[in-house]
Amino acid sequence: MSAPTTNLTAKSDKAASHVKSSERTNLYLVLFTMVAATFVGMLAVGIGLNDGGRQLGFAWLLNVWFVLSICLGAMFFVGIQHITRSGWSVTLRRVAEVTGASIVGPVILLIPVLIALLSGHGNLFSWNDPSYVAGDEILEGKHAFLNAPFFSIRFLVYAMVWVSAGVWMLKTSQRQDRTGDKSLTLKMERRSAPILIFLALTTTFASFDWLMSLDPHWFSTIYGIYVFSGGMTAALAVLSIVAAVWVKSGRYQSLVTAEHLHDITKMMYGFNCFWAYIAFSQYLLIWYANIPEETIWLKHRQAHGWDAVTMVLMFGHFFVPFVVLMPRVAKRNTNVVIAVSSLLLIMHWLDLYWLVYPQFNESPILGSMEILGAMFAVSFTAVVAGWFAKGEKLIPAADPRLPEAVSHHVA
Amino acid sequence: MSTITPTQPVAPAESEIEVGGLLAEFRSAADVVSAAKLLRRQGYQNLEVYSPHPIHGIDKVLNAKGSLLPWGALAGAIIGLTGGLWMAWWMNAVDYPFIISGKPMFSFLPSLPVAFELAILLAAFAVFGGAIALGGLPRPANRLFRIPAFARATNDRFFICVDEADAKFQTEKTKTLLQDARSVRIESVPVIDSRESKLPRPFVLVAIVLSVLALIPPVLIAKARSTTSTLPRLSFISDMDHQPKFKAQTTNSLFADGRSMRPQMAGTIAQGDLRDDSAFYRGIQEQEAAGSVSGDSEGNVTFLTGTLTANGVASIKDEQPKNVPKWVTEFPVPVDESLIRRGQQRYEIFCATCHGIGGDGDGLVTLRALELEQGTWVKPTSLHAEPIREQPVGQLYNTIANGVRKMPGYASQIPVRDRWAIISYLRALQKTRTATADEVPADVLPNMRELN
Amino acid sequence: MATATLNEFDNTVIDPAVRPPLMGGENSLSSITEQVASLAERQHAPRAWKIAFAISTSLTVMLFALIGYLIATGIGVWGNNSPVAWGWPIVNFVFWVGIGHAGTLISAILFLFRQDWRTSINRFAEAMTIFAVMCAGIFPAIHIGRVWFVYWLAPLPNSLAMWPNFRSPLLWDVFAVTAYATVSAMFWYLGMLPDLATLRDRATTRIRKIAYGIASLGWTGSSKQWRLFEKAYLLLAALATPLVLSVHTIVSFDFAVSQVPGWHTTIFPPYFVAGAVFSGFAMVITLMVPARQFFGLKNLVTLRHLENICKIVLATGMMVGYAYATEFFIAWYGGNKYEQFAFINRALGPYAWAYWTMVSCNVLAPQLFWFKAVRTTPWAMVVICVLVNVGMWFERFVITVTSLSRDFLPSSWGYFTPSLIDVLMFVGSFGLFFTLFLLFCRFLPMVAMAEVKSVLPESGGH
Repeated sequence: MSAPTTNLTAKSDKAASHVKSSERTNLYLVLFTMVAATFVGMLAVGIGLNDGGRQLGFAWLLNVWFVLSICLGAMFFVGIQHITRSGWSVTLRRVAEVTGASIVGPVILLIPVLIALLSGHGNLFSWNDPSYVAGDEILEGKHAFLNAPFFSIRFLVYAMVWVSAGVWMLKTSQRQDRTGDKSLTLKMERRSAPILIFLALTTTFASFDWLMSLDPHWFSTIYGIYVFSGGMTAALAVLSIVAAVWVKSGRYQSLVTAEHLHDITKMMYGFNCFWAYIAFSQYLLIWYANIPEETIWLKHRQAHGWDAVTMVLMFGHFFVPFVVLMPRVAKRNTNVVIAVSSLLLIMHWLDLYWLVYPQFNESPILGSMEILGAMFAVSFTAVVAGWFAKGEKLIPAADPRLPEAVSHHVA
Repeated sequence: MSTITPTQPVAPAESEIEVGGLLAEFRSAADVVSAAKLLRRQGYQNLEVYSPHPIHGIDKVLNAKGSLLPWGALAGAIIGLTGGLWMAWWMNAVDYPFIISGKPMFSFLPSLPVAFELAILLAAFAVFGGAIALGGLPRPANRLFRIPAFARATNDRFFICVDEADAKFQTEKTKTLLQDARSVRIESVPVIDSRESKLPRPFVLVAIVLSVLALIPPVLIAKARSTTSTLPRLSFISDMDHQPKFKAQTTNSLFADGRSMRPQMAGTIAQGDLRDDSAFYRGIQEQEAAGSVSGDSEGNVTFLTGTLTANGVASIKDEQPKNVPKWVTEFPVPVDESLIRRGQQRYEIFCATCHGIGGDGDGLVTLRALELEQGTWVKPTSLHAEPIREQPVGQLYNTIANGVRKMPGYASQIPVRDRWAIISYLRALQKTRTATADEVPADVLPNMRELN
Repeated sequence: MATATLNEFDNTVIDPAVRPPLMGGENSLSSITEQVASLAERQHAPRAWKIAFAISTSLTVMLFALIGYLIATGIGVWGNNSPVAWGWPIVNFVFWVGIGHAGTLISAILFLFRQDWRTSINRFAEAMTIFAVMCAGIFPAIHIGRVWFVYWLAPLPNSLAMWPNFRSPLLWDVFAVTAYATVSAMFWYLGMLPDLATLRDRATTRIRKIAYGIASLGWTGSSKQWRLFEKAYLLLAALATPLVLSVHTIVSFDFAVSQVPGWHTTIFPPYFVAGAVFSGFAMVITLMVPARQFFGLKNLVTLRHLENICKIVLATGMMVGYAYATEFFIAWYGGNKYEQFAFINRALGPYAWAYWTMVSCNVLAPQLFWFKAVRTTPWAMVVICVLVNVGMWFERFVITVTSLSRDFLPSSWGYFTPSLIDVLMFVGSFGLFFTLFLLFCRFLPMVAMAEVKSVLPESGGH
C-alpha cells in the first residue's frame, strides 16, 4: 500500500505545484483593480441616486449574501465529506475548504451594514426604524429579537462560528499536506459533527435575521433550509465548474477525472432537486392555507414583474438543469457541466434577488448597482480566497484516502 | 471426462447423445472472465455466462448492448405525469366541476403530488416489467436445470454455456478449449426439447377452467345492468337505507291517538311564532286580540282537539268569533318618507298588477281579463272608493294578509312591515284624489298646475 | 447451521488509510450461501420462533377481530370524537408509515451513495418497510367508516358520475402510499429474485422446489439477466429515492395545508421526512440486534453496520430536534397568538406529559450515541432505539391531538381519551407486523446473498 501511496503523493505534489508567481501577481492585480473599481462605482451610483443609500444597502446585502451562502455551502460540503469518510471527493475537497474559509470576506463586508444598523438606519431593515415600528403590535412584540444591538451580537456569534470553523478545516487539512499525519483526518471527522450542527443553526438564524426580517411581519419555518439548499447547490456548482475546468485542461490528470466530475455534478443535481422540493413545499403550504399574513409575501413576488422572475427561477433553477443533466453523458461532459453550473450560479443569485429585492421595490430593478455589487462581492471574496490558497496545494496530497479518490470509478 | 448425472437411469454412450452445447464450470469470476475472453477471441458468438453475483466487466467481454430500460422509465414517467395532470383537470374541472375551499377548479400546484406519484409508479412498472420480460422471465423450463452441477450457479460457481448453434462449435475442440481455460468440469447440455417449454397439461386445464369461471361475474353484472327487474335491489350493505324511525303520516302504537306526528302541546308556541303585538301583527287592537288567539289571522296552528266526529269540523267553525274585530285605526309603526317609498315599491310589485298603478282597479291583469271576457273575474274595487277610504288601517292590513272575497291573502309574499308600508302608501295615494290645493306645499303647487 | 463466532468481530476501529472489511470471519461465496440459506431451510422452526409466532399471530387475529367489530359497529368504538376527530388511528398510520421509510432509504439512497455496507441489512430493512406500510394502510382504510366504499378513493368511473377530489391532500396520500407500497414491493422482489433462485437450487423437498421455483421465475444468473437486473435496480433506486421523500412529505401535507395552529407550518415536509427516517432506522436496530444474535449473522451484520445506523439515528434525531426548535421560535416570532398558544399549550398544557416524553425520547435519548461505547453496545442501542420509537409515536400524538383538542374556540376544547379498542388495535398492528416479519425470517433469504457476494474482496468488491 505504501509504495503506490508515495507514488501518488509525488504525483499530486507535482500536479498541485503552485500557480506560477507571475501569473498570480497578474491575477491579483486584476482582482484588486476590480474590487476598487466596483467599490467606487457602487458608491458613485449610490450617491447619484440620492436615496439615503437605500439601494446601495439592498444591493450590498444581496451580493454579500450571494457569496456568503456559497461559502456556507462549501463548508457544509467539507463537513459532510469528513463525517461520511468519503474517499471519492478527496481531490475536490481543498477547493471547498478554501471557499469555506473565504467566508471571512463576506463576513467583513457585512460589518458596515451592522454599523449602519447600530447608528439607527432603518433604510434596509424597517424594524430598525422606530417610527415604522411604533403602533405596530406585531413589530413591537418582535422588538425583543429584532433590535440592532441584539442583532449585532447574534451576527458576531455567527461570524465567530463561521470563520473559526472554515479556517480551522482549511488549516488542519493544509497541515496534513505538510506533516502527512493521518490522525488529522480522524480529528477533522470528529470535529465535523459539532461543526455541522453549529453551521445548521447559524445558517438558519442568520437567514432569519438578514433575509427574512427584511419583511419583518412575514415568517416561514422552512426559510433557513431554503437558503441552505440554494447555497449548497451553488457551492456544488462552483466545485463542478472547477472540476470541469481541471478535467478539460488535464491539469490534474488522474487526480481529477470525468469520474469525479460525474459524481460532483450528480451531487449538485441532487441538491438542486432538494432546493426545488423545499421551494415547492413552502409555496404549496402557503398557497393552500391561504392565510393573508403569509400569502402577502408571495403575492408581492407574483405581481409587477416579479412574476416573470419567479417563472425564470422555476425554469432556470430547476427544470432546465433537471432535464439537461439527466443523461449520464451530460454529467461527464465538461462543456455541459460548465454551462449548467454557471446557469445555476446565476440562478442562485436570482433566487436571493427574489428573496431580497421585492422588499426594496414594487417591481424588479436590475441595473448597474446590482451588477457592480455582484462583481465587487465576488472579487473581494476571490482576493480572500487567493490569500488562503497562496503557497498551498490545491489538492490534499497527503490525505490517506487519496488513493481511493484516484481509483474512483462510477459504476 | 464428462460426468453422468445420477438421475439418468441409463447412461447412453457419449457419442450417442445429441449435444445441445457445452457447459463449463469455473471456480472464480476471474477464471470465467478470462475464459469468456478467450472464447470471444476465438470467434465464438453464442456464449452465455452464469454467475452467482453480477460480474463487472463481463458485458464488455460479451459485447452486450445498452438496455431500453431507461427509455421505458422515461416513457412511464411522462405518461404518469401527464396522465395525473389530465385526471385532475378533466375529473375536477370538466366532468364534475365543484368548488372546494375556494380553490380554483384546476391548478397545477395541488395536481402535482398525484401526477408525481403516478410518474414514479408507472416508471417503476416499466423498469420492473421491462427487466423481467427482457430477461426472458418468467421461464418455466430451462434445459440447464437438468444438469445437477448447474445448481451451484446460484451459489458459488461460475459457468459458461456454449451453444452448439455457434458457428465455431465442435464438441471436442470446444471442450479442449474450455479445459485449457481452467474449467473444473465440463458437461454436455441437452438439446432443446420442445415438449419441455410447453406448460404441463393439468396447468393448462386449470387455467382454462379458471378463466371461464372468472367470466361469470362480469357477465352477470353486464346482464343485470342491461335488463329491468321488478324486484327490489339487492342490498348487501344497507347503508342506512332502512332506518328504524317514524315517518310522517304513519301510525304509531306508542301514542294513544295512534299517530306518529305529534300535535303541538297545549300552551306552547314554536320558536319565532310568539307574535304578541296584536296591533302590529294582526291589525287588531290589543284587548280584542287576547280573546281571539284561536284561528287568528297569522295562523297559530290549532290542532283538532275534540273527538273526531262526523260534524267535528263544523263545530270548530262555530267556535270562530263572529263579532267584528276592533281594527287598529292608527299605524302601529312610525310613518315616514322611507316607509312610504318602500310601500310604493312593494305596491307596484304586488298590488298594481290588478289594482293599477293609480289604484283605480285597472291593472294589466284586470285589463287582460276583461278583454278576454272571463266571467269569473271580479274587477277589483277602486281603492279610491269611499268605503275603502274609510276603512281603518287594521282592516286594510287584514285584507292584505288574509285576502277578501276573491282576493287571496298575501301573507306568504309580503312581510309584516311591508304590509304596513303598502298601507301607508295607499293612504298617500288616496290623498292625491281628495287633497285640496292648500294642502299641497307652496313650492310644489306651481308644478302641479303645469301637469294639469 | 450458521457459523458461530465466539469473540465478536470488531470492525469499528478506524484507520483512515484502510477501509475496514465489511464482514467478519472467513467469507467465501459458498459460506455466505450456507449461512443465509440454511436459515430458511431448517426443517423445524426453533422453539423461540414458535413462541414468538404464536403470540404475534394471536395479536393479529385480535386485530382482525377488532376490525370486524369496528366495521359492524362503526368508528364510534374509537375514542375519536369532536373536537379530536383524528385520534389514534391517524397517529398509528403516520407512525407506521414513518417506520416504513428506512427500508427503501437503505436500499435506494444508500445504494445511490454507494454505501456498500448496506448490502448486509437492506433485505431486512426492505421487508420491514413493506410490513410497516401494510400496517399503516389498515388505519386510514378503516377510518373511512364505510370500508366497502373504499374504492371511491380511486378515480374509477362510477354510476354516481363522481370523482375524487384532486385538491385534497388526503387523496394525495392514497396515491402516495399505494405507489410507495407497490414500488417498495417491486424493489424488494426484484432484489430477492437471485436469492430465491439460490433457495430453489438448494431445495430438497418437492414443495419447496415448486414454491421457490415459481417465485424465482426461472432465474439462472445469466450475464444478460444480471445486466438487466443491475440496470433495473439502479433505476428503481433512483425512482424510489424521490418517492420515499414524497410519501412522508404528503403525509405532512395532510396536516400542514390546514390552518390549524401547530399544523400549519412550512417546515413540516422535511421535518416529517427526517422524523420518518429517524423512526425507521430506530426500528431497524430494534429488530436487527436480536435477529443477528438469534440467527448467528454477526459476521454479516457487524458492529460497524450497527454503528453506522446509530450515527444516522443521531443525525436524523438532531434534525428532528432542529425542527422542534424552529417551530417554537417561529411561533413566537410570527406574532400570531393562536400559534403561540398552540405551542405553549403543547409544552405546558394538559398534554405536557406527552410533549416532554416526545422531547426526551427523540432529542435527548439519541444524544447518547455521541459516545462510541454506546454506539457499539448492542443492548444499549436497542434501549435507545425503542425509546426513539416511543418518542416518535408520541410526536405524532402530540401533533394530532394537542392542536385539535384546543383550537381557536375555547368553548369547544376537549381532552382526548382513547378507548380500549384504540389501544388493542395498535397492539394488534404490532402483532401483524411481527407475524409477517417472522414468516419472512423463516422462509425467505434474510440477507441479500447475491449483493453481499458482490462486495466480497474476492469478487472485486470495494
